[in-house]
Amino acid sequence: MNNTILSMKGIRKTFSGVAVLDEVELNLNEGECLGLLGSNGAGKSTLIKILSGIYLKDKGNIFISNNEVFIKNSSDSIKSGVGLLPQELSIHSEMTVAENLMLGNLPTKKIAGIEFTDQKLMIKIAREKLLDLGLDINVQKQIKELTLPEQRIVEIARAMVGKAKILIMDEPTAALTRKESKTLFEALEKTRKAGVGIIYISHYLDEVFDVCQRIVVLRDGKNAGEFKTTSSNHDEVLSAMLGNAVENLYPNKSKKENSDLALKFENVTFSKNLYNLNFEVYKGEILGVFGLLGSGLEELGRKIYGISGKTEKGKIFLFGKDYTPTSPQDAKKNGIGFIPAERKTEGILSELNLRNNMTIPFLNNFIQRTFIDTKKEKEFTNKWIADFDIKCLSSEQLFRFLSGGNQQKACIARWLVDEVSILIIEEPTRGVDLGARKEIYQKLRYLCDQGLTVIIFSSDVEEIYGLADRFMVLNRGTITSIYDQSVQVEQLMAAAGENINTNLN
Amino acid sequence: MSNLSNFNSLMKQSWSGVAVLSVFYIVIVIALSLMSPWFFSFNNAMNIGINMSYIGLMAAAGTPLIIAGGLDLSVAAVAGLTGVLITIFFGWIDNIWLAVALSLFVGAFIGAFNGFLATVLKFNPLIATLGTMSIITGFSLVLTGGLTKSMMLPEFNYIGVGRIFNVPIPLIIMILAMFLLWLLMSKTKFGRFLYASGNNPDASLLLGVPVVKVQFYLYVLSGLSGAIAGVLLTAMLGAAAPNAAGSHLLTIIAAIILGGTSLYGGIGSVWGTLFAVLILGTINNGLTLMNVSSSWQEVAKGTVLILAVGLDQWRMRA
Repeated sequence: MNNTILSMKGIRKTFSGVAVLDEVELNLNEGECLGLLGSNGAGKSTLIKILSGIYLKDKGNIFISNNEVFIKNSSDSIKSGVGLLPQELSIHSEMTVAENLMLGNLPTKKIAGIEFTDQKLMIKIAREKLLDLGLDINVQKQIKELTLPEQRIVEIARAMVGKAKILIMDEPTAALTRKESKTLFEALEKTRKAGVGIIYISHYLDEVFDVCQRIVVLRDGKNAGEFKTTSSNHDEVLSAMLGNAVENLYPNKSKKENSDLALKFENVTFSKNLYNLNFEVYKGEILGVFGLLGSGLEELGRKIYGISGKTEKGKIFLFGKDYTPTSPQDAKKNGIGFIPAERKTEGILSELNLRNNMTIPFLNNFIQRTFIDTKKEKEFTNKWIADFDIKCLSSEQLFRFLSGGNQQKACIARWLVDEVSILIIEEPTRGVDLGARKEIYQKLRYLCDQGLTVIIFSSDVEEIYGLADRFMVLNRGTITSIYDQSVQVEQLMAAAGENINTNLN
Repeated sequence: MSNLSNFNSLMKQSWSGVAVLSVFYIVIVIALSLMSPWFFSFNNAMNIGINMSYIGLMAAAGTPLIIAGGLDLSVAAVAGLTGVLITIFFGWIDNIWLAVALSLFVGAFIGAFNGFLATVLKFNPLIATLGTMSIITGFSLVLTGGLTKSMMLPEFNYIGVGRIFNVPIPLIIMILAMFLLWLLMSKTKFGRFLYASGNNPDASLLLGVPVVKVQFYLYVLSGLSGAIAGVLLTAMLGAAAPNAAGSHLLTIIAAIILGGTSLYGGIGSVWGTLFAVLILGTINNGLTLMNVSSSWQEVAKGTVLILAVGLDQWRMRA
């Protein structure tokens, strides 16, 4: 079965004169699952976008089943047998499973000369296709009634109905729990065995090693290595991705003497979904808050920052003083900074430049007699760019042209002013590549050693475990336990309610 | 290929939209100068200036509002009502400047009402200000019985027809307003906040930007600009017509969009609007000089608008 199904040769792509892909090669065999890895900005999404017709390549050739194809738009790509499953689900949630599945290929029958959808045939084909992937469900249900992994499988099946020979999956497990991921992997295995070639993109190395047979690594727009998953290990792949051997991803934790209280919650209840909160945060520490979806993890940081809703009961103390958060502006005045999880929708001003994005939370520092001092702005922005190693053309570059990791660095850096003493960060490294992750972790640790207090809210238990000094677990709206560094990762997961027996293997 | 991509990246710069418009404008001026012997003269240029001054004023104030994520369709109706109010207030108090001040206050108040609907109550600004537009137009007609009221008073008419160094006063007021708006938008905290609010209101709120307050003030400013335009127009015509400016609403919105301001917010500049106003006014003037009927002028205006939107789309995709 080692027939090459896809071969991309000498692919080159430049944006504004900067090469983001340079002579990149990629081969995919029938019935193979190929992991495509690389830091953000390494070029993997650009490569995928070229294959799926979203970008045009500058140079290079693409062969599918040994015939050269010329992909100029996404319909060319689909016709050539490429099925793209983007990170965000692309399904019509109000339609039934069968309709979603067959939308591009509806079977029809003629009644009195007019074409109608052949409902019976549609349901029959849809059911067969899903059974092929091991999903036994009523296809007349609405899509929104399905679980997330089931919806993903419907997407795969839809690509199969469209006669896809090559399936591209971009971070398919981003929103799934381990158990849910497993369901998806079983379907992937069946798809692969049917002879489809799969290109699998993920930030989770474990997952890639489990699912894929081969790994191709890109770095700075060039091929940086190829590995068989059976005969290589994480470190080899990581060092190919990062360019040098990765030492510990997480910085050493610092031993702190009992320091001052920064924030104290006394019997605080916000609503019936977030209640009876008792905890303390000490100056200079990183408190890691972990929880599953719906545990209150998405809420608590926002409440401290004064977004949506006041305390119903209880008291909050900020450095010993009463604190009642009423609005973000108010929280900011009290020295609290906030970095939201959804960078794209809540964090960035995409059409403004880097400088504007970085100076906006404390613009008052740059005002001189009612006018903004642009020179001072540039000076500070350049300092931040250097401090955080933000890769950009200049402080004047539009923010949307920066990669995810660099955007996140900027989103953190802009809060690092004297006015901020407590920084709340939701999902500090979501969609951020390993290289930038490591830099962000080190920077946060350094800042805490300088006296900054950081509270991290993350659904990535390994991140919480690796980075924080103390841990707090939320479960169904309240705190189940608070641990110090002697805790094991499994205890955190158990406290959050996650079933730790459902391992990946 | 590389030339093209260099050009494309140039087009992405924020000032490049204004640069393209200015080149486009020069092309139009040269073309019209060749086609009509009466076109290229100081007096004709001033004619264009007078005709576009009050429209440009409203478009200029509408620019930051749209950049901040708002929209005001009632502004031209406010201009009409202002003229009517001046005649009525003048009849009551016999002091023209007090009457003007009161009318400006009403304009700002209508702006505040729009702002209240759109920002505090979070009504869709398109529908909310369409509603206000209809109400204001209706009131103007009721107050005058649909008739045009004469407003001849030399010291008042002077601000419409007078000249300083041979430049019409309305044109000076428009340029001055644009300059002040440019300062506000590009040099002040409020200006930075308005771009942020329009680009991403959710992110802006989390960064501590008072989005509602910023948008509210811009609605007040838009209402006020309608009132000032109404004063200029009444002084110019020596009369107040209840629907004097209503037909210019499309031109105002067209100028803002043609000037490179994004309807999605966050992008735009007042100089872009200035050139767009000049382009629309100059085409209108040139066609009139060449005896093209006003019906065909409408066709020309629409064509230019579609071309401009096409250019903008291409620029965004580049």
